[in-house]
Amino acid sequence: MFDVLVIGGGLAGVTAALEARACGARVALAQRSWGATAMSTGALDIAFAPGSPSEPTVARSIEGHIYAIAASRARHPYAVVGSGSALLAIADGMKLLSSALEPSGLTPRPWEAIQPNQPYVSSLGALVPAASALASHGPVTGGSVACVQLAGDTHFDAKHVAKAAVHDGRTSWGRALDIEPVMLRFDGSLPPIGLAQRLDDLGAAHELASELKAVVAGVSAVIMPPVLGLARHRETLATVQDAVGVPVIEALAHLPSVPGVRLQRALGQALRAAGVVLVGEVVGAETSGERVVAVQGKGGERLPAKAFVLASGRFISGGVVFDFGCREALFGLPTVTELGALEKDAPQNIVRADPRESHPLMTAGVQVNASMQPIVEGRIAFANLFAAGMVVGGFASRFALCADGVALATGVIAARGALA
Amino acid sequence: MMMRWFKARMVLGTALLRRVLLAPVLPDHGPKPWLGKLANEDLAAVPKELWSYVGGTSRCIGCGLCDSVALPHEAPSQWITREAREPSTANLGLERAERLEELAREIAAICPARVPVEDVARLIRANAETLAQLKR
Repeated sequence: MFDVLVIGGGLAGVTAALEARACGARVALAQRSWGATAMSTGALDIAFAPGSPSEPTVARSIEGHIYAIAASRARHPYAVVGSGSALLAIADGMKLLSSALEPSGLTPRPWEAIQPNQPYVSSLGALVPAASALASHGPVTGGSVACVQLAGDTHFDAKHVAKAAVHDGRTSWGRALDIEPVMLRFDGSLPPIGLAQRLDDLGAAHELASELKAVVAGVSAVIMPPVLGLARHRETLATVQDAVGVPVIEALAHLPSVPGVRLQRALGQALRAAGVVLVGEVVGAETSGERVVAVQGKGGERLPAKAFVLASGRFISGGVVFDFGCREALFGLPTVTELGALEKDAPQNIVRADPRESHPLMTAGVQVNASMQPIVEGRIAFANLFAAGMVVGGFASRFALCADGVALATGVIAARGALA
Repeated sequence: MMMRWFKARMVLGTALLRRVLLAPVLPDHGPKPWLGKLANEDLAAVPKELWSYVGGTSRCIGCGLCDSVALPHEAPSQWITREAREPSTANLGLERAERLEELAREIAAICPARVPVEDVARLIRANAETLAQLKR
């Protein structure tokens, strides 16, 4: 019998498991496969809310963004738990995450240093606002910066990235940036994850570093495509950085995401190091009255626990299914979207044509109270079931840039609720 | 500008009059006979197995996570989305089908969309076989 059984191995599930473990509980985590966390860009999105002429967005503190989101989106977890509680839980979650990622060298900037959102270069060519990021990513603040193009790399266009970042810096951030593309002969024609695996070989990393050193003299920083090693990222990054002698910044990734795979692997290692028992996929739940008694493993095994944290993600991760109506996959809980409940026969309510709007199906998840307990028709669904991360529905993280903040805050709150 | 406006309305008005006045006497060359011809072509039904393949491969969301279980120069994510859908080059994909079968178990453990990789490999093989028959 476990004290807490967490369902889902993304950032929210891992945060909940580590928080519960830190409180001395016996914790198990069930994971079907990698989910949206392994598709992370490398940025840690805490909060972003559009500003106004009197309060420009770029100058607003993270607290200000959280308050603004909570004030304008009633179903957002920051509003449900209260922005003050959300802020405290995010800070605790960030500390947990930092120590969990320390062995893999991915530790993000400390929470105290996160004020306000900073401009991070994206591989697609834009300056994205982010509160923090995994260690190898950094904001572009000024000076003369070189943006590196590897020969034959079709996933990263340094000329485009440099041009777009300079444009974004001027128009959106009010900064005159000096970013120039630099061409290398180093072969980058492999797919991103393949290239990162090749650079795990320190011989290849040295080859890249020496070529880079010869062409980037006099710059204050170097922007690289996010491929600097996968399993041995820390060593590869250090090799290149030592040779160049200035900060080497990886751009935020698009898919397939090397930083996302690194993060997911590092979280798995952190779970094992913390003594969390890893079980496989769960396919069913056993309930009795108002309590969840156990979940059923794919192999038929029965996994009882005192409390359960549901962190199975949304539609993309399989936590929400859309067949005969839209419902949460394991317990069959009803879902709520930005537009309320989804109707199966009304496709315009599932996918909307305007790219500026979120697709309601992608915002579908369970409704929760301030303790992160799923609620059905105004009543708590199960007394010992808590939700964390994107399985909580009714808001679009894409527009509030808050996915990681929500995962950390709800993971911490759900774990504490499960142990209360 | 006025001339274009006037001409456009003339064309529309004439077309409307022709439609109303001449429809009872002229044969209808509209969409109905065209659709009828299509029905007479007696197109073969799509086999159920093919739909199941399509369902499986279409599930791929292009996240690329499966690349992390392959060798550096391999990109199973691209094979899944591309090779299975290009029957004209299926014979070139045979090697990849074999490799996908080898990686199937590892990809199944990592794929968030549960793409049935063994089915994809089978589809590549089936496409290659059809292509070989056509070439004979």
